[in-house]
Amino acid sequence: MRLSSLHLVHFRSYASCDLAFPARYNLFTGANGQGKTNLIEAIYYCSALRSFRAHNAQDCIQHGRPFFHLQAEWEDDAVRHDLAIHHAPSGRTIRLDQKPLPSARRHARRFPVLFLSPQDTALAWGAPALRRDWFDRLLSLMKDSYGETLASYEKTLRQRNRELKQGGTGELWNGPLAEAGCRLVNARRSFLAAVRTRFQAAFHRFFEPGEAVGDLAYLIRHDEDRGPEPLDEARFLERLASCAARDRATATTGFGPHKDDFAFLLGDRPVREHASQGQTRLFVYALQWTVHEYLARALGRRPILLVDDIFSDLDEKRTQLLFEGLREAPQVFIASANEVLVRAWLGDYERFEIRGGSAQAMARPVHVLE
Amino acid sequence: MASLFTKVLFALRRIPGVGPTSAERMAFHFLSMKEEDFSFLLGTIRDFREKTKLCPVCGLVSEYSPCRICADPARSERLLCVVKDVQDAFRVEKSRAFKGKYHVLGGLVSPLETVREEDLSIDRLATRVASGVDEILFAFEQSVESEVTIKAVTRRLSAFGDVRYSRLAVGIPSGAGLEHLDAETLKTAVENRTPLTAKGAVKAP
Ligand SMILES: [Zn+2]
Repeated sequence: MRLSSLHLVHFRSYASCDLAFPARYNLFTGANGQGKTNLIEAIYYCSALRSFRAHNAQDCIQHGRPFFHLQAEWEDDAVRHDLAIHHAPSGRTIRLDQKPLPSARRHARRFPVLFLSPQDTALAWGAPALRRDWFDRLLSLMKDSYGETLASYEKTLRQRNRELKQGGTGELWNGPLAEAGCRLVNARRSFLAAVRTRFQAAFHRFFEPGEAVGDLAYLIRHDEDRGPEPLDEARFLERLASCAARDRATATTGFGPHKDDFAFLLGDRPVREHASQGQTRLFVYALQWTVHEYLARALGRRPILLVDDIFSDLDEKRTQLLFEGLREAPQVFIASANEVLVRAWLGDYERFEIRGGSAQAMARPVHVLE
Repeated sequence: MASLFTKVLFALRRIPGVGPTSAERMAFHFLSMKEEDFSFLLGTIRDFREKTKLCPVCGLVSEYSPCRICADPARSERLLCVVKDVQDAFRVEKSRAFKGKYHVLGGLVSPLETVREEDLSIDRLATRVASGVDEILFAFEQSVESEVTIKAVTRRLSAFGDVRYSRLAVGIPSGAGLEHLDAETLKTAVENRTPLTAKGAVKAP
C-alpha cells in the first residue's frame, strides 16, 4: 500500500500543485514557513479524511478561495485507486474510484498513515483531554464499534449535562451513559494491557540500561484504586450517584471515561513531573513505535509514516534506532529543513524542494535530482 | 420590487422537497392550468388546512374528531402504537402491519432540543392506559433519546395498569429515523416486535 500521486487545489498555501511519488522515501525540504507541513497535512487528509491540526476543515481552504480539492492515487496490491475530495463551506464530497465513499473509517484502515511530530511530546505533559483524544482516535481507527460507542457516549453526556443545566437531575440518562461508558473504559484498559509489554520493550531500546522503567496505566477518575477487573454498569451507576449533588451544582458530569486519564509513568512517577525534556521525547517516541507495530498487526498492514521534523536533537544511537523504524514502513514522507540527516540515514530518497512565498507564487515544488 | 414570478418561486421553494427547478415547473404549470382546475387545487388546499385538526384522543391529524382510526371499531383499543410524531404514525399505518390504535407523543426527550418529559403527551397516554390497554408498541428509531423516552414513559405508566411493552424489531440502522425504512421493512419490524423487560429496560443490540 502506497501513495503514488497527489494533486492539491486551493489547499493551505498551495494554489495548485501536482506531485508524483515513485519512491519509498520522500523528503520535502526548504526553508521554514514555505509549506512543507501543509503537504504532510494533505497526505494525512487523504487517509484520515480530516486534518491533524485544523478542527475545522475550512481552515485548510486557501485564503480567499471558495473550496479546496485533493486528489490522490493510492496503490493497494498493485491496484490503483483514485480518491477525490472536494471541500467547500457548504459541504464536502469524497469519491473513491468515482463512487461515493461508503465508510471513512474503513478508508482510514485500508490506507493507514501515522503522523509523527515534535509537538507530540504534548501528549506527555499536556492536559488529559489530549491523551484521551489520541487514544480514542487510535481505538476508533482499529474498531468501528469503538467509534460508534464513543459517539453515542458523547451525545448522551451532552444531553445529560444540558438537562442538569435546565435544572433536572440528569438521572434518565444514567443508564445509557453507564452502558456506553463501561464499554469505553474496558476497551481502553484492554488496549493498554495489550500494548504495555511491547511499550516497555520499545522503551528499553531507547533508554540506557538502569534507567527507570517506562510504563502506561489507565486512571479511572473517582475510582483510582480499582483493580484490573472490568468496570461494570452497577459500579458505574454507583459512582455516578456519588457525584450527583456536585453534578447538579456544576451542571457537569463528574464520573465517566471523559474524566479519565492515561498515565505516562517513569517508574511509578508521572513523566510530566519527573522526566527531563529529552526523556519525555523518547518516552513519546517509544509509545509511537509501539502503536506503529500494533497498528501494523491489527490492520494487517504497516501504516505510511508522515514525519514532521523530529530528528534534530537526538544522539547518534537513538537517531539510528528511529531511522531503523522508518525503514520498515511501506512509504515515508519527511518534512525537514535538515537534509543532511536524511541523506546520511536514508541514502536513497526523492527530494522535493518547497518554495512557497506568497500564495500567488503557486508554491510549485521543484524536483531536483542530485 | 421583486416580480410576482420571483415571489411565487420564493413561496414554492419553502415547501419541503421543492428545489429551484421544480418550483419553476410548478409556477409555469399554474399559468397553463384551466381556471377550474386551479380553483379546485387552491380550494382543496385551503379546505385541508382549515378542516384538519389534531385528534383529541390520539393526536393524529384528521378532519374528523375523533379521527377515523380512533373511531374504527375493527381496530383494537387494547393495543397502542406510540410514535414520536404524526408522520411516523402515517409511516407505520402505510405498512399495514398494525391493527391497534395510535398515540402521538409529540417528540422524544431531548434537552439539547429543549424537549422535556413534561412536554410529551404522557398524561393523556396514562388516561388511555387506565381505561384498559394490554400492549404498547414503541415505534421509535434506535437512539439514546428513544431509550430514555421509553424509560420515562414506562416509569410514569407503571401506576396505571399492567401493560406489556414492546419495541420495533431490531435491524433498524442505529440513528436512522423511520423515514429511512420502506413499508416492507417496517411491516417486518412491527410483526416481529421485541418485548421489553418488566422494568422497561431496553438494551441496544
Ligand atoms: Zn385519533
